[in-house]
Amino acid sequence: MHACAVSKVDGPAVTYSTCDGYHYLCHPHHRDPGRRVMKSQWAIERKEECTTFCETRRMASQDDPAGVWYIGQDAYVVIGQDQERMAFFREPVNPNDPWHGYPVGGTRARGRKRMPPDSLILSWLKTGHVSRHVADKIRRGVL
Amino acid sequence: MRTVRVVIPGDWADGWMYKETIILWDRSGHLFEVKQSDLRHHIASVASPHEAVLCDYLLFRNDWKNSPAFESVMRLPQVRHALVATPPEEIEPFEPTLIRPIMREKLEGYLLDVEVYANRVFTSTTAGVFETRFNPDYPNDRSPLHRLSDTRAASIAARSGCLAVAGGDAGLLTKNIAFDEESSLDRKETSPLTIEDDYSERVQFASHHLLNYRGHDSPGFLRASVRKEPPAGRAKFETTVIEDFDRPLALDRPINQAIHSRSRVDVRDYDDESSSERELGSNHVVRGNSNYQLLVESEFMSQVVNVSAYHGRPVQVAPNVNYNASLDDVRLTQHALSVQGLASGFLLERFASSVVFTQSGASTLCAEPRIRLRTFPHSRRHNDCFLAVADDFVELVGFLDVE
Repeated sequence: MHACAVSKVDGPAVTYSTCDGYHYLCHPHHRDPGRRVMKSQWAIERKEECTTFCETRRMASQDDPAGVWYIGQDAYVVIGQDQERMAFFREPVNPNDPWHGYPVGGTRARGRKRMPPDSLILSWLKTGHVSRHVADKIRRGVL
Repeated sequence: MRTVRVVIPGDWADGWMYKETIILWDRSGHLFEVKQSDLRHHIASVASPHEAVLCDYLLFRNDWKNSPAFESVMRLPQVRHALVATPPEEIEPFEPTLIRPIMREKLEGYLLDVEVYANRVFTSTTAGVFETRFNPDYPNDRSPLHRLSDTRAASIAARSGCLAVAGGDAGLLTKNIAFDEESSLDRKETSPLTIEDDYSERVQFASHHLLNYRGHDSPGFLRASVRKEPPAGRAKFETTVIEDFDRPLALDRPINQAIHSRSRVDVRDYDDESSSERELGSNHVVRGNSNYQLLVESEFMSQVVNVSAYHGRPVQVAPNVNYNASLDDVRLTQHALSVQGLASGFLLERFASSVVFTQSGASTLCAEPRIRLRTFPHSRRHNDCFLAVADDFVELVGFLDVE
């Protein structure tokens, strides 16, 4: 397990150094209840957010060129304030910038939902990381 | 709540109850059917008489279940006791020979949604939207599979001579379904799809009108213009046909006003509400609808709001006071992943359970996760039951609201 150590605090924006030299920013937009309508909100602590990024980054597939996807074992864990069970961690355009991520899906849809690629869902299903009912809900865009 | 369940074993992807047939899709995209008459005969041979009667009323003839005659008979204590007070029985294993293949081309892609309407089977998959004919009297007449669109649509709906397709970034698409284009599928000359809104995640009918779920707190409402057509073929009644739709109306603010004022509110034009106002959001989220009834969730509350668009009158929303959710009901109805319509209320797909919400309250009918749920709100015979797809079976679930 890679430790997440705070490297910078700029008001509500906290950056961690972690995961083989990666930097991770806990973006304040995703921890601001006033932005809940437009920005999904984490329901887990900042350090757990960073740890989740670390675990996801280590096991990352190449299915989505824009970033990496997290889902807990059979989507059991809720990580967002609107029942989100998946997260997307966006790869920075500039390699020196930190990564950041946000909960995805959930019951309060925000329009133009980002979805994991079909190939990744199939991979989760084949490895037993998710069951059929979870894979189907992701594909239908309801999870 | 008294329930009945009939289990059809197999690796199914989806199903539909249409007229006297149960249509099933397997996971490789092939179609199968079970004749309801065969199934009823099988149930009568393996279940007790009162369980067989309940299956008839709660699964195969919901028009009987919702009739005054049934209400009247249920007032007899002996009848009520025989049908309701006895515990549900385990109906013996299903007879596999009742499942027959339907000769159709294999579907391409992963099945996302299905709709059977006017002897047509519409399917949306990750590869597009497809149409084929299906006449239950001649299930193997080898109708071709016609691709209507390449769009990946999470949701489709059909009613009143109209197919609606929620095509995501491709928009909300509609298409006329002409009842007389008997041979046009062969010639691939069906009517084109029209864009009604620029984005759509899910679409459902509310009477003849459309609700376009765009990812906002409330869906857009598209009022339909309709015409009546005389009965055609073996039909006994005139048919309502949708001609076109008005531009979408936003329901966010009127729903908030109706709930706060506890009164009927007119829905004004989309432009009256700026996008910045919508971004501020509301305390209420419309989870889904059952026909014209919208299930509205806010923190600690679940409410129902009716939307109406009568001829010559503005679109209106009004609280439905017949639904009075207790705290227990709220706990069961919150955080639904999807909502479908039943004659008596709503079927809610939750992460690990399935809940029915009626004017009597909320009840969990499946306590285990289900892959997919399917209701048939526009059917006469099957409008108050549902089909649930599990890992290795499909179950037909009927229920009776009893104290």
